[in-house]
Amino acid sequence: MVGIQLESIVNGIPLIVWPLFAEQRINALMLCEGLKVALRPKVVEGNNGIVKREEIAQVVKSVIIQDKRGKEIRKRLEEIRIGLMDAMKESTRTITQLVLKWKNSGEVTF
Amino acid sequence: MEEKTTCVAIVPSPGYTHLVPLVEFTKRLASLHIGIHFKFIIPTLGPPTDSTITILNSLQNSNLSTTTFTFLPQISIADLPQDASTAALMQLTVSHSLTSFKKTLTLERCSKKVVAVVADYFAAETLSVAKEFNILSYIYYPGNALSLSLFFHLPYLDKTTSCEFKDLKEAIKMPGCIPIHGCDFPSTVQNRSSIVYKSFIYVCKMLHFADGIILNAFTNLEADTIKAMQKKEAKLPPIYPIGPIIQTDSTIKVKESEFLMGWLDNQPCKSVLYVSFGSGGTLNQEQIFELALGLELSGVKFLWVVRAPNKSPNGAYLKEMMKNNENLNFLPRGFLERTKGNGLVVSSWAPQIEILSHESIGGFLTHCGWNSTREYC
Repeated sequence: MVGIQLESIVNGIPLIVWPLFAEQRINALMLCEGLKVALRPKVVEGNNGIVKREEIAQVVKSVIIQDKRGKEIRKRLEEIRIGLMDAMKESTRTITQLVLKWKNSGEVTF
Repeated sequence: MEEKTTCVAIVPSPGYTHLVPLVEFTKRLASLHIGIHFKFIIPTLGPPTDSTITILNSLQNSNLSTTTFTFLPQISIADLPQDASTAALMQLTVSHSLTSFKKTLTLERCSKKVVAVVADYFAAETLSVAKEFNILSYIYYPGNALSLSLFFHLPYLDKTTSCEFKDLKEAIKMPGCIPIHGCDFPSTVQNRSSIVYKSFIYVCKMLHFADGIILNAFTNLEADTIKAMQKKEAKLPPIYPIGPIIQTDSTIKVKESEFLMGWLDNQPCKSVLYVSFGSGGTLNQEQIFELALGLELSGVKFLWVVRAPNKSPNGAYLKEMMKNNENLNFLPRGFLERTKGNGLVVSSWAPQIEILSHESIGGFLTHCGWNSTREYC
């Protein structure tokens, strides 16, 4: 997970994703459809790829004022937040495992 | 004979963006007091920027006496193809730095017991040097598990696909992953006859040869994807999901950010939308208009960091912009006046780590880039 969006998730903040470049699309996809912590404003077909003000306002209100979609995202973020302590423990376990492997690796003399 | 210190070499790819995740990872490792020396060996394209030096010094200044860094001899941009993309420039810089990397690593091995090389995925070529020395080699991947799955899968897709990926009718289905359409693949693989495509496929092949992939994700966030990669049948190197590692503090503080944080302090809990498209890209004029009017129409409070013409963090510039809104004349007429009190528009740099952890923030509109306000610094 890329830093700044992870930051948002860890802080329990719902996302609105608006990818500008191709490499950002897969992140947007993962956040909306994979993790379900984000909304993506729709581009109107045949409108030069422009997102209209009404759509922006709707998505913004969904997230901040919270309609059904916004509430679901908050719920999902809360679940993630509850799992964070376990995630941190797992992170420490995984790192320790890695470090032990490094420490036990014999030096190749030359 | 005195025992040599155990050392792990860390190899970022050139540029600030790919350095930050490795610095944060190293800080996390060092916080566990594991008695390992970390040596950053950094390929560089042109002179290192101020942000690069600042963040590296943050390693030295935070009682992490076990971390040092060295820059490899600079590669000149004049020696690289003029039309190369950022990704291509990063990889070419690494390729051109292999000889000096080998030299530095040899030198390091004289005084220390170098047990592993951990490289950013764009610096994957350096793993060949680690292999040569018979040192364990790892890739650090700061992205999500979904894109890592795709990168593992790309060499196969390369062999079995004859058209451009964006022209594939069916979405790609990988174990434990949501389907991905070719048009959503990264731009590095969107033009299959380009140099950057070929070198990226090489990077993806290298991933398979690493002794492990260190992934900044965590199992309960992307459980299915991670578990699928860890299955024996997947025949992939060990995946170490060591996340979540996040940046704990902005590296550069400007006095003017106090104004902004003060404004946030005065807003109700979870009421403000933070809008940032980063410095790496911008919307066109028409879209900026729609966004501004959409924000206004929503009636929601917002903090909007608009793209600054100057890429470097510059407090004085921010202050000037706050006093004098003339430079924001690309916004709809009267927008700033009408949304005054409800919204704050700032230019240049903002302390986004602090913003995102502020209790007034209730949403984040992002372009999903690596680092929303300071890409490719």
